[in-house]
Amino acid sequence: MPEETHRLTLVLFIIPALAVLTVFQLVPMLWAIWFSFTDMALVGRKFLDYSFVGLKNYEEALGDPHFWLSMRVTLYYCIASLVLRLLIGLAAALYITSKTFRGKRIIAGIFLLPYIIPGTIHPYVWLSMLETEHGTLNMILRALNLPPQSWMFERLTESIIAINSWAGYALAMLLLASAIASIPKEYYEISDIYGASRWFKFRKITFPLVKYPLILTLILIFKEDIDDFTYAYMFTGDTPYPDFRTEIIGLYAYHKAFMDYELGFGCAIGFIIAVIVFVLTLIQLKISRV
Amino acid sequence: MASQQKRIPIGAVIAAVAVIALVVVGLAVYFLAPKPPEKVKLTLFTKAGLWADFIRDSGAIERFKERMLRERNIEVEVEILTAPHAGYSDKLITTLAAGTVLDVIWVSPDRIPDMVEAGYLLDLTPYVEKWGDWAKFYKANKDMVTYKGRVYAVPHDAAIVIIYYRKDLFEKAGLPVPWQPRTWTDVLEAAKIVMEKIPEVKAGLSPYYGGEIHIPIYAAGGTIYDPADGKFIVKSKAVLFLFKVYYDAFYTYGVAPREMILEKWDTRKLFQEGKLAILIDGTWCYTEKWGPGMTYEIPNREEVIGYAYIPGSGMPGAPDYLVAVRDYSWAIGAKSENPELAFELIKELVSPDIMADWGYKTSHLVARSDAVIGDYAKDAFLKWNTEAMERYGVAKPVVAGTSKYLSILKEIVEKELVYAGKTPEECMEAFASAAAAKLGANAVKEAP
Repeated sequence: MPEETHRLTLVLFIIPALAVLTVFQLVPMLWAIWFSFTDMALVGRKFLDYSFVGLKNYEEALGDPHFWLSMRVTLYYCIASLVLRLLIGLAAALYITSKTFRGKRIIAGIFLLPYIIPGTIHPYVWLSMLETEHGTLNMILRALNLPPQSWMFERLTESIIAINSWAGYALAMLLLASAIASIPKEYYEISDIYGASRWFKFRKITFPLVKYPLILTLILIFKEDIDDFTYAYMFTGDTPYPDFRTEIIGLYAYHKAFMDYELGFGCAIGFIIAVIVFVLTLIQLKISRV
Repeated sequence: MASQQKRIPIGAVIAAVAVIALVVVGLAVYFLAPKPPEKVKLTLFTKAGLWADFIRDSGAIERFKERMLRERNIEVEVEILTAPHAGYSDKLITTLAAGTVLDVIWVSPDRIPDMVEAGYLLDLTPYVEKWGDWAKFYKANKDMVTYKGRVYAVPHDAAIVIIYYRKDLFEKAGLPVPWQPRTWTDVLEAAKIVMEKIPEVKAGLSPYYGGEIHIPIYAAGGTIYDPADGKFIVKSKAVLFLFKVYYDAFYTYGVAPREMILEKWDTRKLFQEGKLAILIDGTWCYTEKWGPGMTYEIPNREEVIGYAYIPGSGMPGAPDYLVAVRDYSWAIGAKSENPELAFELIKELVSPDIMADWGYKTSHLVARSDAVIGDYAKDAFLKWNTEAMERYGVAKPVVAGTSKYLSILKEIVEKELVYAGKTPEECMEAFASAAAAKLGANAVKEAP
């Protein structure tokens, strides 16, 4: 096929996807960036008659104690989720790549289930399970003569972290499993000859060889969690708790934009999140080239 | 010569006559036969669940469609769009901001000024001026949908915020029933006695209904807005009284646990369970929450639930009693392509029988004098509330910024007072600063 026809064919195949990306991602993003430099509001005169205010929204956000409180909550949420997702994902990856255990394929399928169930459905199940008086979890604790916990209130942040980790560990499992599967089998065979224990093999063979995929997984999970919204919103509702216990930064931006109607301010916070994610992506790309 | 004359073929004559006849018949059919009805679609945006179900079951839409077909030869399809009750206003505003064309909209008058300024609502003044029934609506309800002298909605119902109390808990604690507190101290004292005498009670008092958190300001004889200069009042004796009342409830008397706010307790459920003695809430709860077959049904609610006016502060100029008035109304979207038809639909939705039926089934008050009919007119609870509204009703000012003022006030009460435990004076300072920052320094002031 002549070169030009080949290029034209490629372009024609790419255009539909590019069009969708432009309409549903690029244009809204540019619009949101523009609004972040204005005092646009969803109600009042500022809806029709908004003005360009430069960096005012960003200055207000960075000078707002609630913004930093929300960032602290977000950091706690992200780090706790990250550790849990990574640990559970690594354990699951080791299991499904191990030769020893039977029924791995079926178990691997079961491990993937939390990731596949839509994130707007299983929180409702969790809501009933975590309910203080009649929830399943507290009923089990009472049956074991243990004190029931206030999962939906005192431990709400921890509950959301646990649910997010439960729903998201499968991503770490898949990434790490493919990294572990690519380790040459000869390394393990040689260590078997020398009588190496499982822990030794993990420390000296598996872990060093999955170090970079592990770091990449870490960044990917962190990026996913930092602009997370669903669980926090479903467990918080339309108004934040006075102590901001579940007010992660994505939810804070949502409340500002759509509850307080300060769209410009909300977009500014959204753009700050986008910059953080962008920086993490650059780091991820740099590491993946190493 | 005669033998050479040409004859017109008979077939051509028949064909010509047939064509002419067809044209004549076609014209006759076109001009004389009845035209098929014009087809129009209207959208109606309201809350999901109880509200949308009532509209569907009430027959109002069928009546409207039949009337439009009969009177105007228009076949109307009404599409009901809904949003959940929780966060309804926010979803409505986002929908309108996105440019969606909505014809008939269920709105809270709190939002009318801000929605009008954003260009979302149609001015209904020319429509209501020609409508004979408009004179039958109560003035207080009409005022709530009027902004800068123009009417932007038609009231569908009214409701007031009152004090509810558990008669059984009061009797067990040795308190008088029926009960009408004369001051806020009476309310706090009663809540404290119930909590001391009945350990099962988790909370003596739920001191405010979120949408009317400003009630103590009016109870102290104050106001939140001065129409003389168009400024919101952020510092005054009345505003300080508000913070003092809530501070007393949460700390001094300790009858309202902080967790009630911090953990978002369901106070209506607690009241149903007998774990909350006194609750400030709206008339609609009597049926919508505690009525037969409802989520938190209270059997024999007439024997169990008592209700009272909210007391004044006892300060000079303060009212003896008050109740906060709210209502919901129907508006028309500014971009509606069929505003006249939309107004005809609204007329049907607010007809006296529909309004009375809604009021009776959900414990809302009617907004027009000729709707006090049927079961509604016989209901003792509704009668008491209607009289309370007429005697002691106070409504929020219909000005742009009221929603924001109240939202800032609620945030300060919850974050600074309940969560941080700051004193009333500190809370008032924080409120004044936050209001100046968000409403504008020129939009707020201090009053005596």
